[in-house]
Amino acid sequence: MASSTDRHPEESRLALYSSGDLNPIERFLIRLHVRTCARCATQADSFNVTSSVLRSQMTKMPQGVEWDRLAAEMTANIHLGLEAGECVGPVRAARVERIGWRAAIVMAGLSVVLAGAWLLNPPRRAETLVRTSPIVIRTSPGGIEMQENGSALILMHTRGQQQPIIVSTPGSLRARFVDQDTGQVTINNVYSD
Amino acid sequence: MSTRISLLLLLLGTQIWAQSQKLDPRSTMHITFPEDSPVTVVSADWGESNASARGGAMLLDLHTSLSLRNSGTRRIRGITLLVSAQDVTPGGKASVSVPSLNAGPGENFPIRIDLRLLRPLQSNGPLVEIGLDGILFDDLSFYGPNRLNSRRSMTVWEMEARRDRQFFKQVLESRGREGLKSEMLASLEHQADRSTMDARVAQSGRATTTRNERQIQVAFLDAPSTPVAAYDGMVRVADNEARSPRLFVRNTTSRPVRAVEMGWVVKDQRGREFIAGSIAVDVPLAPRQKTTLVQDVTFKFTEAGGEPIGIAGMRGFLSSVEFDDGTMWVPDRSAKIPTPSPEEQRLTALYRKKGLEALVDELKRF
Repeated sequence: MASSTDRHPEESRLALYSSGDLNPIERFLIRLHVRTCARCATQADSFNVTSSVLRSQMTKMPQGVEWDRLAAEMTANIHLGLEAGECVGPVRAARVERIGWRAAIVMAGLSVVLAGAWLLNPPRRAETLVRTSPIVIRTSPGGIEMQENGSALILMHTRGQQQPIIVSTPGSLRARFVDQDTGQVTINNVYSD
Repeated sequence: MSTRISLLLLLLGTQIWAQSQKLDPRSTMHITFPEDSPVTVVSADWGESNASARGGAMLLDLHTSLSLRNSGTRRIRGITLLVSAQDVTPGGKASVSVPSLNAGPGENFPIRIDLRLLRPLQSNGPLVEIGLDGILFDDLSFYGPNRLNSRRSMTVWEMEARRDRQFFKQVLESRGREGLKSEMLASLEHQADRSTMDARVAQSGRATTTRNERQIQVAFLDAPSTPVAAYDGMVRVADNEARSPRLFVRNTTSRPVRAVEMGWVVKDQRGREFIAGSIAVDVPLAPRQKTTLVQDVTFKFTEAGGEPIGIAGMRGFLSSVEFDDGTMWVPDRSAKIPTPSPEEQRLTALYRKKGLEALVDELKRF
């Protein structure tokens, strides 16, 4: 027992124990001690009594003090302080609150738009782009040439006495010449599409 | 020593013979016409067609002169043959057209096709398919599948041919042989000038240059009695690229229009003018309707040698109009269209080769 009385907890610990503010381990250890130590048990009880008296006294307002009036005065003082602060500089708190609502509305609107866009245009599945080999059409010595995959087709116009008239349009090339044997005008065309 | 040289030459000759062999064109070129075609193949002369190895590829020279017969009842004015080589260039097509024909029922007429094919050595099977795309008759009626829209082209060529023959006949009547001769010489000179000034126009989906971009106004060549008036135009230009041409056009007639074909003349920074081909635009235009033609494309202009043409200005001209009922309009000669018609080209070549009398006789045939 001597050993237990030698290790009395401090008063502050006992006060916290009686108000229930200790952590569970400390509370368990002090509870064990208080069961076996009459002095500490008495001290803990006295802390309990003092706490309950204080609690009962705090529920009553001091004489001459009316709570509603006090609350109105405090609110008025707060408003007065804010207006005085606006004369010096921006009242950040008030603006932050207003901007916050606007931002929330904007964000909500954006979310609706994005959700709508996502619903209307769901992400596509991964696609493989298959490109066909490009077709090249060009004039070559003696003809107009179409190249594809390393192969080529050339429509020759070497049978004309004069240079052929070449007319080009997007996607096609046309050579017009007069065949010197037949005397006919011949028009060769190649088309890439 | 001479024996060694003879052996060397023999070996060389054998090598050349092995490399270049006479080709049997029947196995490489198929000609297929529809059963109800008003034109039939009378004969096919394959001439000097041959095949030779070039490295890892085979080079085939195919030369044929087809003799075709008008087996119908109407006079033929033009024909277009479709040439496809699916084994060689599966994505592309080619055609050979002969306008300004004058083949009556039962008459034969020739068509030459000269092709060169380069294909891998391993390829086999038929290479070239020749089919019929269309025939134009003297009443401007048409026969054929028209896959290449040859009906529109051949009708324009025929109308231009009639216009030019009429013009040269009038010159002959009013100014005599000397007048006709001077017109032929002027045309030949004009053709010689412009053959070296062709521009190539390519369509690219994406602009490659963003510097120096500016907007210029497009001028138009006046064409009397034009059914579609192009009264304004804008185009954005950067270096040798013209982007998104915007043309304001108006149907001046009481007939609905189906399509127009615009030609372009590009002027470079040194003042030289280039004929930049023509572009057909399908545009439905109600009578008196105005519209803005906007093409969301980029045209790139280069010289025949591939050098870019720095664009300083652009002019447009209306080269043909197709009405909704299929009839066509072509400009008068007074419009001074920069490109001579195929018929003018044929008549000037005839004058140059056979002289004035042959030309006069030819004009009398029509």
